[in-house]
Amino acid sequence: MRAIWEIGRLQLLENLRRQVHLVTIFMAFLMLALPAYVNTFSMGLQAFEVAAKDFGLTLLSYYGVAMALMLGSSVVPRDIERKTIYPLLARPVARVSYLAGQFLGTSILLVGSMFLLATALALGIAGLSSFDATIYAAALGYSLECTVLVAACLCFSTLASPPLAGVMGFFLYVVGGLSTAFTQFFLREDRDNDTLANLVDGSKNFLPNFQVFRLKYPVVHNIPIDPAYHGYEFIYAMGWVALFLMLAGIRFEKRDL
Amino acid sequence: MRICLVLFCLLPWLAWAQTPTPEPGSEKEQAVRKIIGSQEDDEAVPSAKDMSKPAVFGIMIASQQRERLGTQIIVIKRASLMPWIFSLLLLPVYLHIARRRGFRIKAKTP
Repeated sequence: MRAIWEIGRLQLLENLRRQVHLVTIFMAFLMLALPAYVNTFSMGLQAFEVAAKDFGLTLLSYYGVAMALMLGSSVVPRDIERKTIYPLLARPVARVSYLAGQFLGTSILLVGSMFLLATALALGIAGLSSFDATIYAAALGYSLECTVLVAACLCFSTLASPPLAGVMGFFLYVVGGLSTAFTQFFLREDRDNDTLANLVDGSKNFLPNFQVFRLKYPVVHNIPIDPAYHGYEFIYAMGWVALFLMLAGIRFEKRDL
Repeated sequence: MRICLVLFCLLPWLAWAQTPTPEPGSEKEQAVRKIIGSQEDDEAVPSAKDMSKPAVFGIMIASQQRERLGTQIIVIKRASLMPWIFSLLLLPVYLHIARRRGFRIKAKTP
């Protein structure tokens, strides 16, 4: 456990050295100014809060996914390329611990970034109306979505090159988050493509369902969320993280490094 | 040049793939009323191909909004089992492979 924590800390420092946090700070300023910008164009309508929350949370989601794909798919190959992995593997550390440490470091950075952006958005809205703490509920969902994506990309990067791992991660995100309405109305009804619709429905059973983590709609429209929901979505996300790390561990153990 | 060629091939296909948008007007209003009425009676099954019923897209949006409200906790609970069970099943496989690697390293060491 100590090894995982130490590797995670090193990975976090490495990401900070790569100045990944500067993108987050830039985005935070954007989030802070977003409600005022939306308010300017709301022409006196009171719906600016809904529009600002919707727009802000969408930005938060896209930012998280982009960062998760970029960081998750490049962590292990980068260490191999720079040969910084060898001193670590020479120590009595299980390879799955190494992967878990890399995952932990990347996830801490991502979750921290998401909550920083959520705070910026909440403060931006608080400046014009009132502080809305439910934004953190959506941020938690998106953070869990990102951790699952990081674990998946980490797993894919042990099999393929970083760009291919990123593409595979993106495919997972798209198919895993596809709504049933889309497959029903566009693929099955409109395009008459039952084969593709069945393929999508079938593959969704074996992929993580990212819709579990998307709480933007209830947050934007002030629909109450059961507090137990967050516990269950956490268990669900950690299940997928454990599975992806286990698969990555099996593959990584077989690699001749 | 290649981009132009790709666009030349792709654009007609994209134009062909687009379905025509129904014209707004009194017909649309009638179709909306008709589909709302039939929906209440539970008679018509909505179909995206039926262009005389543009309100079907309203139904699609409504069904998507229902999805957006969130997944039921019981569904998440059931869905959580699969990854955890598979991880536990894979644990002995991982441990076996890790042990074999240990033996391989020992055999290589002079």
